Amino acid sequence: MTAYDILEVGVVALIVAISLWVVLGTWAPRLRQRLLRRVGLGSAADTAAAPACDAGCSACDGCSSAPPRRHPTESGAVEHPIRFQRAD
Amino acid sequence: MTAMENVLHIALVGNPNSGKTALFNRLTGSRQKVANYAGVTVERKEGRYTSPTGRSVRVLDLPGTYSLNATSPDEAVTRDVCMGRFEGETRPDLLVCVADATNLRLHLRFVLELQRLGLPMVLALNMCDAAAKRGIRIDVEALQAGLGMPVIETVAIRHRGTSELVRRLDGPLPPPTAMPVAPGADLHAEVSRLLATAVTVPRRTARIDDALDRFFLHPVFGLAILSVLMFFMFQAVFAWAAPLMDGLDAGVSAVGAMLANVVPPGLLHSLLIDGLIAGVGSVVVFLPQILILFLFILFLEESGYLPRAAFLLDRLMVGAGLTGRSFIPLLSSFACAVPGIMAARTIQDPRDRLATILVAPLMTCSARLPVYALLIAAFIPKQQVLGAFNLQGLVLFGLYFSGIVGALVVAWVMKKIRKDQNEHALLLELPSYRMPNPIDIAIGLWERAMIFLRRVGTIILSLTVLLWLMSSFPAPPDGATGAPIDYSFAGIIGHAIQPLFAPLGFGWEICVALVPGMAAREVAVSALATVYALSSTGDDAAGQLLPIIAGQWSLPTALSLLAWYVFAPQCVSTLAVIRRETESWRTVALAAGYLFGLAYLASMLTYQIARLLT
Repeated sequence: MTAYDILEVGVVALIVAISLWVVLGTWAPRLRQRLLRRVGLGSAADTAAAPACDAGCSACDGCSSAPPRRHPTESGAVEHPIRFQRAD
Repeated sequence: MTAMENVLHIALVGNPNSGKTALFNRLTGSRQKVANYAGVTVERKEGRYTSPTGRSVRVLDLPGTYSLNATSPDEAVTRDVCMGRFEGETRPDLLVCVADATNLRLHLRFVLELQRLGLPMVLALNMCDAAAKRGIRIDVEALQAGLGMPVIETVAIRHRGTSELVRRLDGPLPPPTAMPVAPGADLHAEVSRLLATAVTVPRRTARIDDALDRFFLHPVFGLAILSVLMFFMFQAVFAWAAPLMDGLDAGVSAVGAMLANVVPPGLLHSLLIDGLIAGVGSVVVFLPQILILFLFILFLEESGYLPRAAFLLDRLMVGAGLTGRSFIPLLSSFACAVPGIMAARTIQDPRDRLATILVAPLMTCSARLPVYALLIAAFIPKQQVLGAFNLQGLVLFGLYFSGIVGALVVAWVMKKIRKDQNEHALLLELPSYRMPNPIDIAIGLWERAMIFLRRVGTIILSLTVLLWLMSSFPAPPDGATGAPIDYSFAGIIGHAIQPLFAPLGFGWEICVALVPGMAAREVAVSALATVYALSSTGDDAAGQLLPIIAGQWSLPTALSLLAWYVFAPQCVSTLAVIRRETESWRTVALAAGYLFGLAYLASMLTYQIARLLT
């Protein structure tokens, strides 16, 4: 094996590893976090990104917050009739 | 002030489409989406800025609502934050009420309701320029005295008034109103009293709006105008993009040729040429078409036309088991189903919301455009129909239309199955028409381009590399006679699942592309390019996907794949957001199941019928 062959395999392996890292971060962030912790990087306090959000439009910015747990009409909110006021 | 730190915590609240997000962007330097219709913001967004005196200010942008009696999930967020009931969120120190100066009769009612919460408040009187143009005169001093709170005039989209607002927020907090309107008192009557003392409105609506609405909301002309607009949009996607795409294609080919000369044959050469250049390069060339599509969408969003289209289509939507309120979420799904499904939070009725979420994946998202464009360019001749229409554009219009019809049919079937047949009336605020600002449109396009390129440079590139790895290893055994890719992991998987898709006319290469295509639609194109590049000999295959599939696939196979992409679930992100929004795995299973079933059926019928006819 020549030096170029070793370098070639090293570069390809690096590109593949980075790609795997990106894909894991998108679709399996918790698994990536566990892997990080296993090798002594990252901590349990690190929050993982919401799964698969980046794979969508990448612009929804909706990954951070969960939707309201229940529909408001289920939580006892009072529904009021719509009232119209005559214009002056 | 929060006890733990010297941070001022303010929340922007107000009726929908009053300009809260535009003001949020001005204050914090963010670039959150703004548009000229109600319901763009469906969840709270947080930003920070440092005031001139060095004080840190935390700004919350809340969804618009007409009242604290929330009727939809997005309005519940605003209610809960203002009342200090939102989990993990402290009660704001100050509310900045954003009101549309052209429509104070409606907006002041909510301001008075908010005063009852007993929080310090500042009123940002937004869109003052539009109010002045319409001859509306506002006596700010009188309004300030009447409301008992500071009033600042702003034009958020033009930067006007924001410095004054920042200066006011930097001072001491204004005291809460001493005498808020008593509970049970008629807020509308109080608004009328305030308007009588502080505001002169010569005319309730703008003359130009009324004149335009006579055409755009006409039951016949309105629908005709909407159809022409949509038709023109898809014609333009093909007709205008061609020169730019040719330029990009030439650039990709040149880079591929240069790399092929520099890197000696071997593993790295294969990864760069067959993987990255063939795969990623085949997706990048669709950037102009995506930008042209978004040019139209941004223009329509800014102009205020979209809510009119929702109004026009309400009867059709209700007939199909949806509601006019479903229109905006479904339209957002043409960009991406993820924000589209989230936008369904603006729908009050849980049944209508669920129906909208379930059919939103049938709207053609922009990630499918590269797949459609590739197959149309390969199989549909570039010719004019009736002397004026581009045939390829017509087919693209047909594909988008098929998705819409599919969504209406599915919603209609759901309506027939469910027990509750009630229909809900559409109550929708129509904003004033506005001439879109070319700079805002340019910024919007730039952001879309960056989103697409970031996606290409991260997830699409990464998946392409992994697919290249799976298509290259393991190496063929000694004495193997077939193409090396046949012995690879990808080849084995492709051949294993191909019998399932044989009735649809899909070869094993297409089957391989369908798997990563579930992760992100465009990856199907890069996957096909990589698989065909590795299946061929020499570097000429890189960047030449189009002639390869045109030569190797039959027309029925191409049509069948198009039918598959019209109906198949868009991607795992869509399913993930359905799970998050509905908090139900059953709904996810239902959505995935019916979409796969529909796609399989449509694809098989298309293939078998096309085979009989050709």
